[in-house]
Amino acid sequence: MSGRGVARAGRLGRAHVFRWVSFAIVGAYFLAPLLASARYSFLGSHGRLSASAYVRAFGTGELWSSLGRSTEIGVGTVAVTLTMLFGTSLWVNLRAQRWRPLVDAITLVPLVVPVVVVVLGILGTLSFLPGCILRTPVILVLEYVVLAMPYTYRIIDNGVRALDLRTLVDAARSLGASWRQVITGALLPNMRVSLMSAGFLCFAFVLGEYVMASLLSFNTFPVWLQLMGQNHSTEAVALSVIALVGASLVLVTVSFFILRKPKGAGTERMEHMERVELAGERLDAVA
Amino acid sequence: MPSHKVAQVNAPSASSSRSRARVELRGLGRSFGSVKALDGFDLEIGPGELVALLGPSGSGKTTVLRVLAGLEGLDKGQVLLDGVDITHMPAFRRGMGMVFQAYSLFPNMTALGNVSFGLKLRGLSRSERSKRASELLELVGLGPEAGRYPHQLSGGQQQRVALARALAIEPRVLLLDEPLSALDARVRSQLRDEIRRVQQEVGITALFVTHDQEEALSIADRVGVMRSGVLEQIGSPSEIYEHPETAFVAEFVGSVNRLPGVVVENGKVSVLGTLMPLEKSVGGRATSSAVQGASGTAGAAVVTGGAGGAGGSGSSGMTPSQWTIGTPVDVLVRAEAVSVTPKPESDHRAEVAGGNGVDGAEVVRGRVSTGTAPRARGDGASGGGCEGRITSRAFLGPVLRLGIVVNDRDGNVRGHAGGLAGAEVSGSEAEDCSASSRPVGPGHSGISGKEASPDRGLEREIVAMVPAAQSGVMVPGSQVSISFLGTPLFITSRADGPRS
Repeated sequence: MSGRGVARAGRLGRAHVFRWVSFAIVGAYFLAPLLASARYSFLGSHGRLSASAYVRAFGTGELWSSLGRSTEIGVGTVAVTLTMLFGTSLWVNLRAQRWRPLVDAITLVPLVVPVVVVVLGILGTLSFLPGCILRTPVILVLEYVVLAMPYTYRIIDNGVRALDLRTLVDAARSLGASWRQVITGALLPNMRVSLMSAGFLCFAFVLGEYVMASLLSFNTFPVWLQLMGQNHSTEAVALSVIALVGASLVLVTVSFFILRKPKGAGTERMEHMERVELAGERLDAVA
Repeated sequence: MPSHKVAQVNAPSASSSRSRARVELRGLGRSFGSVKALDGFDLEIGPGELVALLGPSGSGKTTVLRVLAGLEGLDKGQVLLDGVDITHMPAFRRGMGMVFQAYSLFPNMTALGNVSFGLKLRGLSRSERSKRASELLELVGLGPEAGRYPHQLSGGQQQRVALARALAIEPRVLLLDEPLSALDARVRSQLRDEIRRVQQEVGITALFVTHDQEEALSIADRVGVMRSGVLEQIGSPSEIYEHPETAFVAEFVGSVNRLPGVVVENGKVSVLGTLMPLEKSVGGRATSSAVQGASGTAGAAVVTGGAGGAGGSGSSGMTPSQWTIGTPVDVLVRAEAVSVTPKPESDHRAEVAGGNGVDGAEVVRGRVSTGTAPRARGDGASGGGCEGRITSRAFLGPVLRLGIVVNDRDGNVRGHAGGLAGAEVSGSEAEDCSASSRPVGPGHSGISGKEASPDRGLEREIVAMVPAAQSGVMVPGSQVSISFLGTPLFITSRADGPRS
């Protein structure tokens, strides 16, 4: 190996080491509390290793009912968010660009105003709705849509703006597509990543939101978990561990299967670059 | 159920009557806020014809296309397709294929998928779609690339796919919105011919919008020149080039020289020492043709008063009949209508001085004078000429261009006039020739009043290209003569507003 090759390998090697070290540190930051919680859930306050906390936690019927309620609310929130915000973003970007600053400002309001104020404000505004909405988790869905809006709208809007919207819409329309076909055939397939990200963000938000649900006295999963934690701390911790692990698995699965790039997207170019790099290294080695 | 839909899809090379539609646009008017994009626009496109709409940005040509496609609404006017009023028909029902400037392919589909998109909407079966899409991709020369995604294709290839996609639905009209603007020059000329070939093979009526005159002139059956929402002139490419109806058309299509002249005698204009009769025009149209006559003969000229300059705003208010002796005028003439020849003795003496070589061509500089002693303006005598320098570039071939470059004493270029390939054209200088200095009057846009002050002593330089055979004769010190072949396109009063 020539001197150049050795130096190059050294540089690459150092980069690798640095990468793994950072990964280890950040990983530890996230894993340490998880491991500590897991340890506690197995040992309990008695200090004896057992899985009884898990057994007891899963035994209670309330776990499943509260989880189910949270899931329902989550799904509802995702559905309303994606429909409403995607539609808004399309409208702003296609027809009403002058309104963009105003719409952006509105979507950021929940970020600035305290949560409790937002909740009560929404309740007050929607007080005209019949009891079949107000006294059911539907009100929570509406609240969550608003509370998550600063984040979800930003994600969706960025996704829309990354498209050459005007041209794609015009092209699809001139080929004979109705508006429904334009959206489903030309726009949505190119919005996969944004919509998925917004959706998952929304869902995670709902599953973790405590304040509003408890204020409005709904027994969602976080509310029930908090209640559990007051009396049965080990079980609560066990459930938290499970929730975290479960969420991570879901995310990994999603990113692996659903969010991977379509066939050929960029990979050919990447392979070509890799080949060039390798050839360069090999040349160095031979020289 | 599928049978009638399948029947709609024909082999690409068969010219069905469906694609030979006739388009009529009547009195189109469209404003965006206070901007009038279209102002009473009329156009007819015959069956199977390719019409190019040519014009600068903001002339409204894209708006015409979008109105025809149904992507833009109309304030007033009608759109007729084969005699049927489709003004209020939504875009997705009009059955028009459109090719956009760039990035119009659906990124999530392959080339084949893109081309079949329209067919899928029409309910064709998968195998039918695939077959037809493959045929069309073959037609545009991209058969092997059917499985590639848009980001894996070059710009030229993407536009070919866009063309195939537009043709897949067997449209009645093909609309092309500057499809070549985003491509590099070499690809542009290749694809331009491809588009024309395909259009003729399929026999489809087409509207092609561009700001590139070369594109328009080379592929269209007819060319329409637009300015500010109005169609200035429409005709075959040679008609537009040789018989422009307005000075704007003359200057936008091909290069035009604006030579300064002055009215001398009654009904005569002196330009570069040549006397030309002023003839009143008939309704602003060209009354004579550009004839390759004997050099030195002055033919009839089209006279326009008022805003004769391109984008000329404001006028002195004088009409041709009011032009008195001494009125400065601009003579607009095509480069190939001016001849610079070595001539030891002539009335219009030009001295050649200096020279340098430019890329195998020779640049010869000279000075042109009209032969008679320069007179102050307003004297009323004949021969009120002016001085200028002549620069000749020799080329192999009879290409001739003429222009005026204005230099100051330090040799910096202060402005140009006329047309020289590669030179910028902005305006001409009013002439005011006196013996002591060579001042130039207030200039047009590009040269502000204070730059072109008499004190600066700006000189006019006439640039001409001559055949290589002659250039050898034109050595410093030799005399050349300038003569006009044929007639100028227009004569306009220079007191009118600046040329934009």
